[in-house]
Amino acid sequence: MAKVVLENVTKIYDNDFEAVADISLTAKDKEFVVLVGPSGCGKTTTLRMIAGLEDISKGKVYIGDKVVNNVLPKDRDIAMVFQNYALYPHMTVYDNMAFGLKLRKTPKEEIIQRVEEAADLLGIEELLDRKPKQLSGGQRQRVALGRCIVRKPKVFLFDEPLSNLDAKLRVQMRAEIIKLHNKLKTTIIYVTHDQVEAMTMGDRIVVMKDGYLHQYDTPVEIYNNPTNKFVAGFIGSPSINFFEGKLKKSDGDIVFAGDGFSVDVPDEFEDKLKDYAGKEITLGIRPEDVYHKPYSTSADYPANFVANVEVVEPLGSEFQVNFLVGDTTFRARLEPKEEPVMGEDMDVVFDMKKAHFFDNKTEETIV
Amino acid sequence: MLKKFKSRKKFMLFIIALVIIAIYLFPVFWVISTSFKSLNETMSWPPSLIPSQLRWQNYTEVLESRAFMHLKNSLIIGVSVTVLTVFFAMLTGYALSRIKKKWINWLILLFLVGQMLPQILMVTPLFMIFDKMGLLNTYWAVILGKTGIALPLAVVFLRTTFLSIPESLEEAAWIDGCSRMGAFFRVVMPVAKTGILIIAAITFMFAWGDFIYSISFLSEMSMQPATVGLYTFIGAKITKWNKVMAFTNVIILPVIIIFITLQDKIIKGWTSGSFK
Repeated sequence: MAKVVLENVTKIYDNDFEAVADISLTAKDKEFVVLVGPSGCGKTTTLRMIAGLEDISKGKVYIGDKVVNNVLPKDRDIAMVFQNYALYPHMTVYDNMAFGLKLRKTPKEEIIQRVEEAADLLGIEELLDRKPKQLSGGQRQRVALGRCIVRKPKVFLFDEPLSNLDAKLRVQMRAEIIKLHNKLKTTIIYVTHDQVEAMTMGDRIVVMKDGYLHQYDTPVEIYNNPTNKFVAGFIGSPSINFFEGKLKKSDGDIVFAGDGFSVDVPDEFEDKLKDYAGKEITLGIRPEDVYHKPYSTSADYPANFVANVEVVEPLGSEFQVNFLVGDTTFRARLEPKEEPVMGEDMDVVFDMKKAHFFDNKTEETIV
Repeated sequence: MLKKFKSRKKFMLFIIALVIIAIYLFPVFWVISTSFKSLNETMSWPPSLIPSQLRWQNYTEVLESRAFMHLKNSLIIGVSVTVLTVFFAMLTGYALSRIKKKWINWLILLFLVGQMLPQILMVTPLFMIFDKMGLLNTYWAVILGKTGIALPLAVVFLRTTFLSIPESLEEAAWIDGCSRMGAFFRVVMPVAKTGILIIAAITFMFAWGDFIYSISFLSEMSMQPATVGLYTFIGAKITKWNKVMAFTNVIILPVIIIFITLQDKIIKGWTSGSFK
């Protein structure tokens, strides 16, 4: 068990492509850190640098208190689950799990005991004599986990381990990995492109794009206070609505004028937004912060306007609705009692206290 | 009989296939048939398809002369060429499968061009080189020459085999505690076993059947392999065809045994299902 520290880590490939740009972060001991981002964002490269499978072009990686830049993977005391599991096809499940221990000259009785312990924990005791090809996807996944657990390493590294499983199994394994982490308390660094996985599993999340670290924080903090437009749009499902528009002053109040609607900006935002008066700006509203007027909780801010209900998707517990205002479509999560009807106009209210404003040039969050 | 085939056309195709097989197998049949005839019968006209009596003495007499010496030489050359070729091709093929540079493609093209050169083209230069090195009339002359010819194909073949093995397997092994070489021998090689076995068998058969290099570099009869030995059975005045054929069968036997054994290995899907 150990912390993992990245200090200005950069990866530049031979063709001068910068896959990871100056990333610094600390995964505390026993923490579950998720690296998330769209494909090509450098998250896997970052993980592979921690594992020692990829050279580090610049910067330092620490495992515990030791710089491991020039330490071979075998001496880093880490374990990794690969996207394709990478089980040794010529070995039985038992040998797959025991392989690392045998290489470390662990006494035979201890190997047997530790493999059995791990197999018991993962519910794969009856599979120990089988070869990988005789296993289902979910079982292979468990064996890959087992191979990591038996070694009792300082750090677990996961490279999109659930992406080859079907949706139902994925949810199940997600819960199991969380339980496993609670039991073993090993530091985990987990890569995924699935923001739901990131939100549900991580103690803290690293949001990456184009090799840059955009935000590193707890899931709730990232959801509520994204640092920029990309993070706001990437985290959350259904994703946040963006509206292009202008900030205008009327009667001393600041108003956001979008395409076919305008809403008042809360007083507490005005201080930060005063430099943007008269300028183009982007408004972000999460789908759950959109209400049918009679059910609105933010009556203080008369941010209502009329929008047309384009599509209604009843999910039972909630309705997901596509609204059209001007030429802009936006999505809302309404309660069934709010009664959206397809094709009709509706009085819509934004909870502006939860709104975000983004600078159009830098895409940074202003408020 | 006709009912088994859905149409006349298919029946005709079946007949054509039978005829082609018969044409291909007739020489083999002729070798086997002649090997059991007496010398007189081989000379008689019209020739008999099936020997009037099975003369096993042909075989015992061949084996009692210098056949075993020649077979031993063939075995020494065959095994040495196979071991050297497989060893170097494994390391080279692995390296070429894991280095991701553009010049690799050019290198492989060179290997393939080398492969296309006819063996006989190399005899004279090799003869001169081996003469200078004092290797003529040693097994090494044939072994080195033959290995050089066998290597390109083996390298290209094994590279493809290694390419089909996901790199994550090795990476998992490194993380589990292997060095690069350790991962190669403990994980990559066992997984590539089928490919290695196939190339080993092909190389062995190739070396076993060598004639040109052996007859050029080995003038001493005690070192000549079976193929050259067989040639010396063909006399200037009279050729004992029955014994030549008997010896031919003895030489072919190991090749056939290897083929039959290997067939089973190829069918076994080794890596199926281990990834994804």
